[in-house]
Amino acid sequence: MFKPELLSPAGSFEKMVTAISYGADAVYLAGQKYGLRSAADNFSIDEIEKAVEFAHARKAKIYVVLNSFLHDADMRDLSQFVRQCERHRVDGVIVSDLGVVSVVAQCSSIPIHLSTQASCLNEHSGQIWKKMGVKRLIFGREVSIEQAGRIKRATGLEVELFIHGSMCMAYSGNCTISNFTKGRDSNRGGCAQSCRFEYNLDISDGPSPGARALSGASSEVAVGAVNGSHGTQKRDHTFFMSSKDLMGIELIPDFVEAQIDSVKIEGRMRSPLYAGMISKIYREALDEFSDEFSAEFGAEYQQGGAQLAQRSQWVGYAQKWSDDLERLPHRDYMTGSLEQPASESSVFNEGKPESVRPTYQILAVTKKVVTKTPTARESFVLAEVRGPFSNTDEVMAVPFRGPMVSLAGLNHVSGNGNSEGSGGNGRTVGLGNALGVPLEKAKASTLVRLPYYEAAAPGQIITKLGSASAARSEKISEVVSAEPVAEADTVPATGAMGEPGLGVAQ
Amino acid sequence: MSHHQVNPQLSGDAGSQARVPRLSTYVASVKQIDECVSACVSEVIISHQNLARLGTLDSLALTELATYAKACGLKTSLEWDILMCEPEFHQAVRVLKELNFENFDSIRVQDPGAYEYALNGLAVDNSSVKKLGVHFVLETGNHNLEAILKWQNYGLLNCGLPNEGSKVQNGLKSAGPIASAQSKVNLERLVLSIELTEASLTEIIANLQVEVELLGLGPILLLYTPRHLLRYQVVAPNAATLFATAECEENSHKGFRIIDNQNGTFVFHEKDYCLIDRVSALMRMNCSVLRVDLRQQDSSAVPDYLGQISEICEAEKTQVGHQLTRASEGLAEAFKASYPTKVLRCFFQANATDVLLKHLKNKNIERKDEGYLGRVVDSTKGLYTIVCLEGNNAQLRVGDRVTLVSPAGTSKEIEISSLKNIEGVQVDEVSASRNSQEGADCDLSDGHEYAVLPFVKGVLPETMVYSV
Repeated sequence: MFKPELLSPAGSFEKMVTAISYGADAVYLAGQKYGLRSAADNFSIDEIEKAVEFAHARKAKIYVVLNSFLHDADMRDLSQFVRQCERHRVDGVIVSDLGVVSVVAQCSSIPIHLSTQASCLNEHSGQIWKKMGVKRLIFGREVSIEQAGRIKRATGLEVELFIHGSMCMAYSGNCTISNFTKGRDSNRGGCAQSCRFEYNLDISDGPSPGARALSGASSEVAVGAVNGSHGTQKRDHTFFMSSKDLMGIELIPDFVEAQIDSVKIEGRMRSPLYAGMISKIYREALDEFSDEFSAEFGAEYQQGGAQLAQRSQWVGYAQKWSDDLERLPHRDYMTGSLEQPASESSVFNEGKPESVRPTYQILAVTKKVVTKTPTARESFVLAEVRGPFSNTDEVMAVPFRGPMVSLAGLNHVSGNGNSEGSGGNGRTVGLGNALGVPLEKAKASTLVRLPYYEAAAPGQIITKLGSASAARSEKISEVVSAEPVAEADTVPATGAMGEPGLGVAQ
Repeated sequence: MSHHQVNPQLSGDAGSQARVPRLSTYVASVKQIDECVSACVSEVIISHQNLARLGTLDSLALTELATYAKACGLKTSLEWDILMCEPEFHQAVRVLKELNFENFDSIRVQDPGAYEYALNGLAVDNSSVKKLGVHFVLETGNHNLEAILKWQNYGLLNCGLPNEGSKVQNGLKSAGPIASAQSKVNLERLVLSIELTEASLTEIIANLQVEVELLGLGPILLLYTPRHLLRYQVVAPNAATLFATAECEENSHKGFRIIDNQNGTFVFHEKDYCLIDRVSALMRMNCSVLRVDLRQQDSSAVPDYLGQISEICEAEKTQVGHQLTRASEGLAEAFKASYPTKVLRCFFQANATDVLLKHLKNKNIERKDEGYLGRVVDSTKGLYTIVCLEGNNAQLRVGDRVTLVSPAGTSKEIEISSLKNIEGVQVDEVSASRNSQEGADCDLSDGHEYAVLPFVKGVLPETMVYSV
């Protein structure tokens, strides 16, 4: 059965490892220039080389993002970088600027994917980009699954759609608020997320604001319903330009039916927790739809005909993943324009989620598993700590496949052979420092030993669920770091939620 | 790549005489057309409600205006600048098929799909298209010569049917002969971005074969979305178009002007873009057309503004060759003083919107490949400093000297006095090489390895480690 490629974000080498380990078929990442995430760690050329090695060894692909709108001065070293990418066997480049398309085509044979930043929305646009040398179209977020399938058939090009993550409110590439207000080019990685700010609106059905100003009317005109000419209404404290997040897991049957070649997850600025969890969830969903659900619920799926009844059954079937997606930092979810054009309800208007559930918090990322060797007398898992936790927390490991594993109660013996450490009492985690000395608490930016668990492997997420009240407070107040909107991640300052980086688009 | 200096603006005068840009502006009524005639505007842009972002006219009104404008001696341009998914595209094509193009000199498009259709499909679908110029709007992105040339060359090589030419299959045609006077559709003009500097524009225009239009005065569009962002904010909106101003605590985000209409929502800057005081510079760079957008101004004042702008251009024309007389500068200053909206030149002098990007993250913790060994992941006082070796074949040996670059940018050189591996065993070296631990039952799938050093005072996690 047709199965789309699962394409995950990789804002750093660690996130690349995590995303692929949790099941991504491909990841997209950027070098130190040319991408839209200036604030992300991004990759040096040596890291790109290593990333390709890592990915190819696991039959995964690496796409390098070159989707800035470049000025002439930015183009100088581009061909050299492209040649390096080709030498390191990068599988594709993601481009939005025709000048970049031209340079890539002139100096390499790397497949060119047209970035969502180019806002390719229709068949004729697809045709023109095909003539320019593009092999894959990554559509604007306004394109439905059904339309994407039609354009694929009409153009013969590979097609890619976003399936999950933050969204630009604007047509991608058609927002320059940061350019003109902050002096930061949003289309060269400087998006200031102005669309996530809180605004006070003075709305009128009369002539343009400029004309009103001229005619003597001001923003102090009467408040009231807009029910006649020149009526004005105030709307304070609104996040009217902030979009809800995309979640397309319930539409996987439609992606399959339309033969969408690649489904993309937004979020290079997001944490390894997000990169890992979201890849795992969508990996499982895509696999189970293709391998189990379709076989169980109807032959129509295997023949590519998603019937309504089966589709609703899938929604119920997919609930288990939807629940987990709710536990990742996010704004309210919607299906964007994947089915119908995004309506007014697609605006994250209140700047806070409608419902707040406890969310997963990242505690650590496993880096190395040491099993019994001549020098290490007991097995352990080495992890870099991202957020503080204690021995008594309900700490869980997220294996690459299958359910989470509670680390509470797993026996840990220190590197000194001191089995009385703080672990092993049946309820605690059994933390040790890097050399195995028992710890009560793990501090951020340290290296710790965790007890060995089944399916332990490097690149796994260590997490715990926060409390609902903490989540509410976190979601409302968290301030996002400078996050380029054209592909963001965590929830922002003013309409913030979850982890740093919730911004927008690719 | 080499480019020829081929801009046609000067070519007719052997490149010796700069011309004042022609004026182009928007009209939606007969009265406005009359005002344009009085103000010596040479071209009017007419906007259909289903084709143009801020269009208000239906097909009948649009056609009547075009007829009237032509009769007044004005050039007419049909605006088709909305971005379109398939349903909107088909709707637009339905409108275009039914329109009478006899009184339109050009069509201006922005969606690449519309560019493709205008070049290769429109003349096939509509027999009233006899001679139509295509104006391609490259105001979003397209900030490098390579991109602009590619778009231009595509247009020049893909112009619609010759008058007696063969049919184009499926409305698409691969690269064909360069457009000639025989073509029904010709790429005539490129509209360039207001984010380009004077220097960039000068270089780009010198390399183009078609005329160039720039925004001379008008609102700065900041955001365009198909979603209706105002409509749901008000109680029982019964107007087709809503207007708003938006204020934000963020200093620079104030006074945004917003329009929510049938085509989505458009957010504009508080101030207008203005190059009216730079007409001489525009002449030097051979800008052919200056667009003036006064649609957000009080309509009763528009004739005066147009008249003043025309006067400024006229003054420039008479000053050509007399660089020391700058009467137009005084006129331009007077105009700006009388214009009710504050104006900006934005990036005309310089575009430094990439400068701040360098500060969005800490460059001290950005990996530089040369000599890179790894980064400090733990530095616990009195116990150890642990380095994760990440560089290609990175290796630490006792006696090595390394440079530590802290997140704050300070650097310190140290000598490795002793080393342990992560199992706590004293060793002479630790290597990131995958084979270095051959035989050990360790999973080193990312190739990284940890080296435990004696505690180094003052060193923080995320410190970068380079070989000396």
